Amino acid sequence: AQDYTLSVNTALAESDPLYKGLEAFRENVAEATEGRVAIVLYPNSQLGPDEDVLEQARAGAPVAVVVDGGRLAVFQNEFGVLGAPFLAAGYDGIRKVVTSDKFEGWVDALADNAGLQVLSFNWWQGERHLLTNVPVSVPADLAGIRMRTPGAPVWTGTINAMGATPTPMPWGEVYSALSSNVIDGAEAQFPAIVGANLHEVISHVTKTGHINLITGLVTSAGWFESLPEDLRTALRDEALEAGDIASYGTRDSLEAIEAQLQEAGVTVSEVDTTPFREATAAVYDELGYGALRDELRAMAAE
Amino acid sequence: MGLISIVFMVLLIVGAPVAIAIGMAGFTFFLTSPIMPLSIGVQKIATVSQSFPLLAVPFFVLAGHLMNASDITDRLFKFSRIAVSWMTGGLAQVSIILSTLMGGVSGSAVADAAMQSRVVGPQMLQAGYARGYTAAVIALSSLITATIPPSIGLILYGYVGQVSIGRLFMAGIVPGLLMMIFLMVAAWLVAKRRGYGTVARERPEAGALGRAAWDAKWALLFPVLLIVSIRGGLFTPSEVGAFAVVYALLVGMLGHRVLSVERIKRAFGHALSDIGMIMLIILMSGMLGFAIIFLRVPQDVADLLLGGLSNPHVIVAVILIGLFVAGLFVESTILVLLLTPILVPVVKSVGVDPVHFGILMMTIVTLGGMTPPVGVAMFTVCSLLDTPIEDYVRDSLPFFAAILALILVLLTFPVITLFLPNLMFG
Amino acid sequence: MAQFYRQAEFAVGALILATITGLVFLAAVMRFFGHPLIWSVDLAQLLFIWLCFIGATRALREKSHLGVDLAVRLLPFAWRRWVETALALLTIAFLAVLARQGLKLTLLNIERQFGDSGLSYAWVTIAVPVGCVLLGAGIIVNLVQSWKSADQLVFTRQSGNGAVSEL
Ligand code: NA
Ligand code: NA
Repeated sequence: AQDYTLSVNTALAESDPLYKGLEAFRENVAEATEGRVAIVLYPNSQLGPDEDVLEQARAGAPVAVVVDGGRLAVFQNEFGVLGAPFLAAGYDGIRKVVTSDKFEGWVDALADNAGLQVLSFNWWQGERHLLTNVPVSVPADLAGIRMRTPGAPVWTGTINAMGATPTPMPWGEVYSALSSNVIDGAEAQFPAIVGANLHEVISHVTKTGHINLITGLVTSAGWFESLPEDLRTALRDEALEAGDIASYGTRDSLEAIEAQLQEAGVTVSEVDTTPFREATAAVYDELGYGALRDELRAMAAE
Repeated sequence: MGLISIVFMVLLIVGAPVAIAIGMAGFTFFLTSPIMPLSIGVQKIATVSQSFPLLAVPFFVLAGHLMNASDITDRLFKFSRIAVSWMTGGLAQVSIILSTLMGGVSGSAVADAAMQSRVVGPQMLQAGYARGYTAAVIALSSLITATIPPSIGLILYGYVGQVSIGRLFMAGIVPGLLMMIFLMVAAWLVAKRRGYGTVARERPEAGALGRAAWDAKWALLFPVLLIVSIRGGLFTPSEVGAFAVVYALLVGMLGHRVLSVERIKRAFGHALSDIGMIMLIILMSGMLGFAIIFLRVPQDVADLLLGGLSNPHVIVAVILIGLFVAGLFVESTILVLLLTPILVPVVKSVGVDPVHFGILMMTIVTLGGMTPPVGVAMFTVCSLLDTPIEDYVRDSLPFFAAILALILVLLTFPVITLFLPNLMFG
Repeated sequence: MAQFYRQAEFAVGALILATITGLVFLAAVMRFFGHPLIWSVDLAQLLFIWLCFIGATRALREKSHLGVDLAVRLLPFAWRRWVETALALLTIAFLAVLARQGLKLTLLNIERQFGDSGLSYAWVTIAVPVGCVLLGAGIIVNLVQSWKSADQLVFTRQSGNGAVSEL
């Protein structure tokens, strides 16, 4: 019988390619621990918004959540740089960053300072692209476009630097806001576009890949410390491996999603990202990540 | 879950305020859970307040009070009296048509019911309609907002269940209009038997109607402006209530010139109490909703129901009945979030179009808000109109029958729902 | 004192309600003209929970919280007052536990930010313990008034018209 149960919450739906990785995590942990640790999955934010679950974890509850670095930056500032523009290309690039020794140092600091334990941070959701109803090829094309983005400074700073007007709004409102022209555009990764049916209300996807969305599986440090050593090791190893399964699954789904978008009449276009990259370079300095930028970019490009 | 239900029922029977009964029942989960800290109960209360669509509740409650204070309601009432009092149950018909118009605006049945309790309710009581009948018409007709686009519930269903929201929106229009007709017939039948709205049997003369319409121009313009401002990209459906407040203030002060500081203060006072009463129930239900999800109650129920069944029609029928029973106790938003991901794959596998199912599901779970023992729309209307719940229940039976008949028609003829989306999207 | 408290409660509640409405209206209008306000709707959302609890306290004093008293309304007044007194004491205990836990949660999560505004989410969480204290105090006042009077209950307005008493 199981000795421990970990409840894992995610904002994603069961149909998201990343969810397959969570299912693999559940099966593999059961196998590796001979059933001593049971994983229960809660998709669609059933246990609450990400911040709620982090709060539950800090209060000592055996819960984990799939979150991006921005949610953790309030506790450990360095995590915020993961959401900075054009940090690394593709999964392979960003994976090098989140499996480095330097990153492991942040993980330890987060556990000590905030009571949150990262199990692994290699859950890749894809690169974020621009969704509009007009063609976009250079930053100037974005002038006057009200573009929905999460309200975090690094995201609004990036969208602003790219030339659009950042307009925060809950993700659940985006579909109706686009369909009634309350906003003129949004930005999201491929699985999220079709997940929210946004292809029905936009006509152009411009593949800027301005933000490389990497997320991690984060649980309660207090609960994690209470586990026997072998279970701790098993959880972290299986989380890393399941993260790879999830991320490669996401990568393999991108082509099919692009085809699905085109079939729905959306123009999906490649673009020279150089002018966007130049326009957003200052965002790092504004947020105090200037020193990290070159080091992490070099690491990702190795 | 057994203990939680017992705590809830006992508190309700001894006459505890509903908010407190729901709160203590939900808190029982945290008291008895070996792993979930007590403080997370507080978190779940706080989290409910962070739902953006819920902001529409205070807006429309305040707007309703301000419209009363601005004479908007009175003039609308005078106009509709001249226009439709020749019909049997004329004011009930007004409420139903108004809900259909407002369905495209408020997006939430509770907000619609709250507003109409303030706008139409007093006029109906004044005209001699029974309290139970008045409350039933206003509560049940607010169900129309669950299907007429843009419905927040349908957006949620499409998002969680990965179903095209555009198709859902188109699919909701015809069922919404049919619901209007079904409810109007039910209202007519009862009103005829009881003699409601049968005083002035003569059709209005054009001049009087025109003068009344001109007097009520700001009021008649109001739903049009709300819809135009949403379609024109000024407001999201969640925000448009704020516009309703501003509009009511402007009309009261500049248009009708009746809105004094004293009247505004009185409207705010009424609104504060109403918001506090409605929202405390909704806030406290945050703990109960969390307990239900954490204990995986929906999954157990699904396993139980579907374990031994194989006939598709029986499965769908059982699901719909199960949804109705769940809706008796649980708030519709929570049910949509909870059950959509479980049910959509099931209905797809038995060959039911998820768009068709979505309209049926939204209708049924929203209907749960209008039934005892727990129904936020019911509580809202009954308390705002000071109506005994047993009166409400008795007088709402014909309207329930009408809705049930409509559900059976929609279930039997999917083409009614799917005709428009297929026409639009192929 | 009681008079002053009622006026202050109304002033704060009405101000919050007006502010929330204004913020959401302004945000929409500014966005329409291409100048979205990033903090506006966030601030409205933060104030919302305060509005709810202030309104709930007002509704408690007016005895307009809804209950189903199909069973207890048949009891004689003296018995009903005892039932409501027991309920009131239980509710006060419940609210006290919530207030204590709420304070604990607030202090534990002072770093958590509200949306992305840079404000602490503690401004939301702390509304629960404060609201519980306000509600608890309101119940005590109702309780005292009930036992001083000859015909008043704690939660239920004596309206004599039956099943939905408004509590
Ligand atoms: Na109505
Ligand atoms: Na119900």
